[in-house]
Amino acid sequence: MTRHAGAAIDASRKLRFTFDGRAYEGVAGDTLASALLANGVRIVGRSFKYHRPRGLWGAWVDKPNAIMEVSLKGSELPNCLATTTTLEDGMEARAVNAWPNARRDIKGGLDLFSRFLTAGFYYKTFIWPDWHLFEPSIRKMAGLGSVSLEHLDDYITDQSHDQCDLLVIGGGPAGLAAARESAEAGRDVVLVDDQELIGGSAYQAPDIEEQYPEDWVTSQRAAIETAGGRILSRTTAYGVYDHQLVALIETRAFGQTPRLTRMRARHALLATGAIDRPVTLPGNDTPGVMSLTAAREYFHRYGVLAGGCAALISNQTDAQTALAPLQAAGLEIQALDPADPDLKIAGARQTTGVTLRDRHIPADLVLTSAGRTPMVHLWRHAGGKLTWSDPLQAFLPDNQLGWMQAIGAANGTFDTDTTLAEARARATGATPPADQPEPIQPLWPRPGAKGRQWIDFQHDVTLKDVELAARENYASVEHLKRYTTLGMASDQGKTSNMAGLAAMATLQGKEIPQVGTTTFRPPFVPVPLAAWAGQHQRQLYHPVKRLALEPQHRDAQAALCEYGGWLRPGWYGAGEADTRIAHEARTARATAGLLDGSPLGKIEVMGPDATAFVNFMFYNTMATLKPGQIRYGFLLTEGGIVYDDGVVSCLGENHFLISCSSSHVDGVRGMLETWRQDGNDPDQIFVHDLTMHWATLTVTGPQARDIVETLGLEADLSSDALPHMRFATSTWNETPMRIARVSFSGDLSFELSLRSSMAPALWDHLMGETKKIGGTLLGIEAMSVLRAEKGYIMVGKDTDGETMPHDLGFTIPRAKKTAPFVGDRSLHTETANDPHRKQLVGLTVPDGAPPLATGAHVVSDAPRRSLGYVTSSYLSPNLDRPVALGLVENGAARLGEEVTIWHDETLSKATITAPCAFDPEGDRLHA
Amino acid sequence: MRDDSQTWAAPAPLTAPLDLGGATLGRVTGLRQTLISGTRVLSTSATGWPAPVQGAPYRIVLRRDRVVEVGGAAHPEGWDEAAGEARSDISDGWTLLELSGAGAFGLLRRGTELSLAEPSASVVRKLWGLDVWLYRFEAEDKFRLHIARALDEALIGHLRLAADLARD
Amino acid sequence: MKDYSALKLIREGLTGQKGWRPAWQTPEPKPSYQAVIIGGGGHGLATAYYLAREHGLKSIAVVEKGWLGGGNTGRNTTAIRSNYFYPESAALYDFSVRLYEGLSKELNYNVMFSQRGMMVTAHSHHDMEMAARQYNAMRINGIDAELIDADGVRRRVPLLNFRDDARHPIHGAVVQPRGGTGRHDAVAWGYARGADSLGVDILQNCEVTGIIKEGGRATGIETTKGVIRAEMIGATVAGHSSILADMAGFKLPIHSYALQAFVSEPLKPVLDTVVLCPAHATYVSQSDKGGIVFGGGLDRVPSYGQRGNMPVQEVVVGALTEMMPALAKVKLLRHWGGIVDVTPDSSPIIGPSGIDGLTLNCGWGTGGFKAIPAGGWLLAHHMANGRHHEISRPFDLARFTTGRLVDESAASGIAH
Repeated sequence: MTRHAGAAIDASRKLRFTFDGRAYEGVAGDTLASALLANGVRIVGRSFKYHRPRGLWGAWVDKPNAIMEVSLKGSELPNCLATTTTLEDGMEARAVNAWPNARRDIKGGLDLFSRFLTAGFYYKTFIWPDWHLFEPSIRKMAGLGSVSLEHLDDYITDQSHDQCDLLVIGGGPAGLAAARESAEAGRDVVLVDDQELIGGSAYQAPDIEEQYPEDWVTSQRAAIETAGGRILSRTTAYGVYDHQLVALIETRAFGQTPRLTRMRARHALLATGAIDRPVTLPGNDTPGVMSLTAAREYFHRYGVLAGGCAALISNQTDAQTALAPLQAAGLEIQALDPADPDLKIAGARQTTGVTLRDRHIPADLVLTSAGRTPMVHLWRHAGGKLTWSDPLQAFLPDNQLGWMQAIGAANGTFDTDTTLAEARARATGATPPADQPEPIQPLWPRPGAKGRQWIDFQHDVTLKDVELAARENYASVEHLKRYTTLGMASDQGKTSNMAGLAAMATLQGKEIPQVGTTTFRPPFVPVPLAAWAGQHQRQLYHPVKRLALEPQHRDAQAALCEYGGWLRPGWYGAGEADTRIAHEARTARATAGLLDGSPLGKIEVMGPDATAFVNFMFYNTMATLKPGQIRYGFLLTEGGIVYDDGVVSCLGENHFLISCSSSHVDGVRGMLETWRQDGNDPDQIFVHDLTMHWATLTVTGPQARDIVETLGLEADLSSDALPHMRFATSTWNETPMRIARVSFSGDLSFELSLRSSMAPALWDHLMGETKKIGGTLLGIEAMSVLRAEKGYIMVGKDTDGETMPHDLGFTIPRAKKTAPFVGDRSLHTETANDPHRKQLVGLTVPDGAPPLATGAHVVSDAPRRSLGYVTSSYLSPNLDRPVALGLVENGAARLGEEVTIWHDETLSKATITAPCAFDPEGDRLHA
Repeated sequence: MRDDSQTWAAPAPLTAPLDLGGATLGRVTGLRQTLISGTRVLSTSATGWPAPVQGAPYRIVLRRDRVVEVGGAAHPEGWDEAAGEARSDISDGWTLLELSGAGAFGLLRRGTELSLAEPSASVVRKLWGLDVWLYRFEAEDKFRLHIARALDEALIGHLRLAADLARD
Repeated sequence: MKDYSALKLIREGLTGQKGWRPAWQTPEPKPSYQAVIIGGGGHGLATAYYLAREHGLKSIAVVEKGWLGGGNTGRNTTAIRSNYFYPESAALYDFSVRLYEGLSKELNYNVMFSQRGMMVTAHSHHDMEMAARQYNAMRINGIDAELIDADGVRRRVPLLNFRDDARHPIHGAVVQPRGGTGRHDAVAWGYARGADSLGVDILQNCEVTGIIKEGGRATGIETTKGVIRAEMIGATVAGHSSILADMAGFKLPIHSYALQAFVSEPLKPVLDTVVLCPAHATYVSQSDKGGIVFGGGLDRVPSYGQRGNMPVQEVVVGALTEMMPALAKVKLLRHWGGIVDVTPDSSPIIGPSGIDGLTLNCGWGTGGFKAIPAGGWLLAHHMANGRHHEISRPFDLARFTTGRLVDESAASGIAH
């Protein structure tokens, strides 16, 4: 087919591509659609429901069909819109949802049953015998493109933030004029246009301000950039969000992720143009029916004449003038009266023309337009209101939003000169001249008319479907949409919404503005999910916290696992995990173990009110702590539930150190900062989170003291001078160090804390001494076993969303603490006093039985109901038998009782014991 | 129990400046960082955003009652009743990075909304969701970032990825 | 009423669709009714239906300020499940699932309840321990459940991330086979048509502007269409519950937040079950039209705006593409928001409001759609009988005073 001159194309550069397996040739600058049109391909896809053949209606985003799976150089993307996909050499395109191809889709036969498959038919049937019988087939028929399970490597979006004083959305004549005017006035202007070749509808005019359109566009561009304005092409503004944030997406080469910019704009001008409305008459979906404006676009931009002989059905007053260049290039045009009720478009797979009563007007192209609809989507995202324009038969922005105004066709201004004056006025904050738009003759669907008249071209919604919806009282505009699925396809109603609501208005005897519109929601065009996801993938998704000693742990062959948001040694050494863990747990009790406890929270609370504040935050009384003393305690929620446990050390008068669980540091810090401001004087209390600054190494076991002695500290480490739950300060290698007698293992244990940069040196020393003495490096897993042997809880594992401190055996503060504390009142509710509350217990199994499954429940026999569950369970290498902890109703009063355990439909037996299974007297602890 | 040692690459500490194409990322070591809280801390000279801070020591503002002194001498730690201040050495808790070059600002804008025209009293920001303290240092195109030591790998990872994506 | 059938579709297809009747009427409000339900979403319409059907009331109105089903019922991600932990919750939500199982037939309206399974994945050893606890709880409470390993997950959902560099590798999952999805609009429309056929007046575009109280008892409502008196009033207004409580003069421990939801372009079937990944705090399914429907956490600023913003969108979409990397190139078609009413224990409030004559059904947070049949049935029961059914009793407002909370933070899924 001959190519005429086209503003966007370079006809000398040929590109090869295939569509549905057939080879074609296009040129640089083509879209898939323009190239197909140039090759005379009339059927570019099939409709969703009835699989009717579909041609090209629009030339850009106003295209409800022509959706294709496209692959190029190993990248395969589903659901590409042919009109907005730039052609690249080697592209392979396939029409979606059509088999074997768009020309000969076997499901086209469905159309024969269309009268039974009206809107909402699936609500009225498929009920008997069961929906599940029908669902699989329906699902297979639905959907457009396929997505393979392969993911595209490196498909990550570059995301950025930006600001500007004026964002001009749309680079047609209005946008260009406004951008130039404001840039030259010294404003910080950004102009965005979604096409590679900006200029919008400029190319459809024979000239603009006495220049050829190409030249006019070029000179505006140059002037804007010279004045410091920025122009972003191939960039779509797809959504407006709160506080004047406009989301911009820049399309790049096929297979490359788009680029996202979140633009904060002080002002915006909406120059997004307008699109044609289809005329609703019988046969209006036939391939060969095309938007008037699209035909002009295909010609002026891409040099393609969409046919040889066209019938024109339009109420646009300038239609003939607009088509003059196409006529000059050889397109025969016959204009028909658009209001004639007997017009029908003829042809099945391709239009043969128009019939009018007994006449047949032959044509291979039918150009229609029932008027132009301004693209007001972004206006509505921003919360702007619409007003109805009777002359234009369209909804227009009411321009009352303040920061955003509409110009040009988006504002219902279609005349070029008026547009330019309006744009320039708005750009400088002036009031534009009042526009007297030329009224068009209303051309809306006629309910009750004969023949199949199409409203939504992708979902196959007809005028009769709208009549049906009205008859069944799905009359509100949202019900109409959801019931018929009009406007819910991937074009989100761009070409169907107006006709649909006009038809409903007529059926209801209302005016169009009374019916209203459905909600416009972002994105304006479909945008790949990758655009939102950005960099938060793989290792950068929820990044894990790293220990200062990670290199040392790796050197020691640690198995690094994620615990509480940190990457920590689970166990050390090669071999079976279970064997290694058992060895570590045994050795730690027999000799000694060395554990990196650095993630432990270290939050200091200081200030004149620190003592009272810490006493207020904790369940346990902390006000009586003297410097050097350590006390175990709970932080509760206001509901009295245990939020975290930890130890509090008194570092001095009004100076406390809270050691909270490593997984709860942020939460505890947040609680402290919140409460310090609520009912307390924040100027007297300061919270410093020093968790990352301090490293903590734990030496535990009967020979722990010997190891620590080798450090040569001045502090007296004897059990008299430094008993359990006390700490001392000292220096080591000129570095301040705290030595705390705190134990999670239940054995003699020293927690040594010093600044992180000195941790490697300390670790090396302690590791050497530990190994020398026959001790072991200790990972989290082995420590979990040790603490379970002692019945020590891990919050979130041995406590749940109901556990209160007295359930764990800590009853005194609830009864005796008079000072107020967080959660106090909730500890005295009816529920808190219930004797059947779940309490922490130990559970032992009969001799020879395997360990209980964690998550198994304790159940009553008849009726079968849960009394609690197993929260921790291990094979104890130190006791040579299983140990377990659990929460069981009224557990503390049931020591010695045998209970039934349920796990995965299997029953077994266990006996309730005290939680502590090892060294209940605590001799080893107090060594 | 899942051994993730191979899933997470061993940390690669930034020993030499990293070329991010238009920007250079380096680590600043040897500077003490002291956290100082109190009702009168803002009366001392302390910076926010975007005015560049000069020399050493200097103070950056985190919030109305909290500053961080960078590059200063050691202070007695704990609560100082006379001065009405709580002080803690946090030098090993925060990694100090420096990002400079013509492309530095554009790179930072990939992690958070940032404007030189919108002043902020505080230097606290979230960059790709990570808490950082961000301010200009000595020059218009030189920025300092403080990030929790345990997450410095993550922040460097984000900066590298952003630089790669910006280049394409 | 029950005139929908394949036979009628064929008959009407041959005769021009003229024989279909309105699904519901558009009546003018009467000056008084025996029962008035405020809020014409799924819960309100179901309540009206069951008041008429189960309790024989003849004078009922549903008052809806917009178009029926236009609130959260029309905006959710359509999951239906009862994989909860506590026996009280199991009873409540499974009652709802059982009602859903028979609903299409009961209403003669295809609500497309697709029991394609509800899967909650586990991403660590600790997660698997909690999964076992959850699985056992469900089985003991008589709810269908399966505990499967990583291979089992991969077989059912190959779309999930099983790559070596997955951030949260999958260890296994708890599956509720009877869980699945339903067509949300159809549930509202089905109940509306059913209620209408039993004489209920559905008053759309009728906004409540005040509650009339006489002698401490709620006796009517003021609306944009005039005063309507009622012997009993039920309130099912979800995200607007605090506003209604304010109007009536009582307090509710509820915060309302925006919850966003998303749908992709339609794809050929690629996901056959509903998946919730707690590690990513995101849930996803594929609708019968082919769109991938998903959602995640709340926009954590209290709001009645019914819209959310980009930061949460990035968190949720980022989570989905990390869960299912193959979807990164799929395009998003639309996103929207609803308002969720969140209670301190993430369990609903059913029962007396503290004001005589006004009964509540709210506080469903992010999980109201699955509970529509049960919520309606139980509110109707309470209104008609003046007392709780045993299933609704644990969800009485008084539990916030007695402390007997039903804290399903883990089981409710995402938003806490």
